[in-house]
Amino acid sequence: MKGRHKRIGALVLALIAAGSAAGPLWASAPGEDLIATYQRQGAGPFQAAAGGRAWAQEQSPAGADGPRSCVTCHDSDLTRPGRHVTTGKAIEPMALSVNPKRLTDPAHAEKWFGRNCRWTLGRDCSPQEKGDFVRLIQSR
Amino acid sequence: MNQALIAALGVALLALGASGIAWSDRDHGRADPDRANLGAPTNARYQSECGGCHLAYPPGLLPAADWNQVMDTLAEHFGDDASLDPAVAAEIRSYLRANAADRGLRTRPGKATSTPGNQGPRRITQTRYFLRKHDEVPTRLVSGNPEIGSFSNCQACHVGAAKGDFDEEDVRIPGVGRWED
Repeated sequence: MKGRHKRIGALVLALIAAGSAAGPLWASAPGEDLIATYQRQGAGPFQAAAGGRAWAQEQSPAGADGPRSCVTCHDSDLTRPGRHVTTGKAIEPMALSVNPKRLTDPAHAEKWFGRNCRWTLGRDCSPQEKGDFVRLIQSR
Repeated sequence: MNQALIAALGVALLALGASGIAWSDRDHGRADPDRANLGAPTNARYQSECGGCHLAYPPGLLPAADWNQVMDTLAEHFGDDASLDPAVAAEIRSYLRANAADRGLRTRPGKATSTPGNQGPRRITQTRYFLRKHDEVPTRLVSGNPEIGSFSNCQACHVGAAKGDFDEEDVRIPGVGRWED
């Protein structure tokens, strides 16, 4: 009786181990769902280098009191924390390598693309621009 | 037995003495740490939507009429477009109003009078209550401090701000240290 329990226990453990090992194969990497969305919208291919150039490119949207870019609030080094330029609140790093939560919630990412593109550029970002930013964040 | 009683009395007297000293503080800020604890905001949407850019300020720091004006003008929110989905905005508005300075339980009654109509929402940092509480703090230590930047960055100095705790005892000004007035 005891021996059978042990065998069942071992079988359960083996199944759990197999399940967790297989898990990453089923789930796609953070940001890939966003990339797929932008591709369906006709954009691509996407490049981290293009995202990096746009990241630091200074903009002067109507009504702004001076040039601004992504770097105004996020750091130029995406692995470092940023700071909200008005309120001073700390912003967690954008780089996926140090902040694995980034790009894991597509609705959250879209909301912030919306707000931050309008603030920085005075308009919405195109699917191409957003895809390049996703590749930048994934690459850092 | 008698010694225990005397010791207990002694402790009680000491406690009374300490509270007496605390009450003598000009703005009563140290008299009762609970008074400085407004509690963490309890609405998850308020925390996630508004707390993304700044501390989710305790609703009890502004009257309902001012929160109404804040929610009416989100597209021009102190220089930022903070527009929200209408359903989300409605939920946050009702939470802020229900817990406002003139409504909720953990508030500053009588200390946050509302702004007359059509003047736009007031900043918490411009309420008489806020100004009086910070009148001894030199501006250079806050707005002129690169580690803080603004009086609206509460949590830079009030280490318990995210939990709604603004007890003066726990203030640590970056680059300066403990605050003693």
